[in-house]
Amino acid sequence: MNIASKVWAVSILTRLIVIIIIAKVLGLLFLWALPNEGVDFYEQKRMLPPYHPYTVGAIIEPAVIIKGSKVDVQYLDAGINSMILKGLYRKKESGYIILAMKAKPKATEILGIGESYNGYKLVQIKPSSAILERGSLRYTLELLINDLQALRKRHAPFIEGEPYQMSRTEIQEYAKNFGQILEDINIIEVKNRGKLKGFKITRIRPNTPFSYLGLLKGDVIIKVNNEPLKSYADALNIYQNIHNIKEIELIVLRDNKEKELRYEIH
Amino acid sequence: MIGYGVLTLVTVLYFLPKANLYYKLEHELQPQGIIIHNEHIDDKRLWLEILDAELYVQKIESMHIHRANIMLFGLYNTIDLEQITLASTPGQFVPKNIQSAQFRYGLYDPLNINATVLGDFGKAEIRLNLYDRIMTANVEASKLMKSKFSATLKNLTRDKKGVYHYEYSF
Repeated sequence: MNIASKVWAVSILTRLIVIIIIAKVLGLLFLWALPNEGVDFYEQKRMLPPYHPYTVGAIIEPAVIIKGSKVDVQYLDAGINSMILKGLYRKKESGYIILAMKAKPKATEILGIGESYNGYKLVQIKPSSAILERGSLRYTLELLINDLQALRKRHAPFIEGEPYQMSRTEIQEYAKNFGQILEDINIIEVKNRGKLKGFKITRIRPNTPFSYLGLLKGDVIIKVNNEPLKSYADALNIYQNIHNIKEIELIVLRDNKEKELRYEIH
Repeated sequence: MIGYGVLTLVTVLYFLPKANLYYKLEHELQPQGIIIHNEHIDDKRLWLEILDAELYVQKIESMHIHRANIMLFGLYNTIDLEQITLASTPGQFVPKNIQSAQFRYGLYDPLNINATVLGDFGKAEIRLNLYDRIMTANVEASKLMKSKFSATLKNLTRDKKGVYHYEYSF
């Protein structure tokens, strides 16, 4: 190997060493500048404590004034045991129930508050039961489950200020079919300065379960059971725990005013 | 000179702390609500391999990625994802199995990141415009997607060729 070749080889080798040194130094600089730990996800256990709305209206304006205090939840009387509650309609201070005798379930009678049937006087209508009075005793007559479901399916009209009664079975069946939910309602996120403020309803398909809930197109749902909806995870948490929830209170923004919508799940 | 350039690039790539670059990416994604969790990182010297990554979006478990290969050549960069399984929540919108997703970014198209996604839902060509901050997706929906996930497709616009289009600003 002549001198020229040696010089050439040394030159090449030097350049390679310089490249490697530069690359290594660059690598070390990157190593110094970059984080040496990644980001991990730590799931926070989310709890949905039972929600109990406090309604001032129920205290100062009771739906029905009941005299006496003894309410017997058992069917103590043979007469009451022979009756079935087939349906009910309930408003603030009025309403009616549909009664029948077990022996003749198709021969129904409609009874208003204060009216009597077979010696039993209707004194109060509850979401899924009726309280009847005979003498000094009171009896609770529960709505037949099948009839309750049928009633729910008929979807009673939403009355402002009153909790809307919903069937848990129906909700659970509905919640399983997310595609159907997407067809029945459209919701978009509402952000303010990059932060999620709620979910706006852009469409509700008529004659679907959502159309009976008192919600309107343009409503922005901002709170559920007093918890602000700050992320998709908040909304998803409620959806995933719907089977544990007994009462739902939605706070919606309608015409820039907060509006409360209440639901009871039975 | 080109030889030295290529050699320098390869050497730099070899010594580059790719795992730390990946951590930096994770820190950048976190404010967007995207967290990659429980993954195994393997520095293959010229590229980075990520195995069994769980992806959370807005604290919601979204998908499991069996393998991801990240190649950063500066002028041309790719991220190849294989065997993606969507979690139950997004799985209610689209079929859960996605065979592959290839993301490409190069200096030949510096304003856009392009991606091709293949799965049981069909095929999607995605473009993320970094300047306008708009994501557009053209979806050729499969029979399964059309039959069982038609509710999702209703949120997309359909052209005369039967291709579905979706646009999202980020």
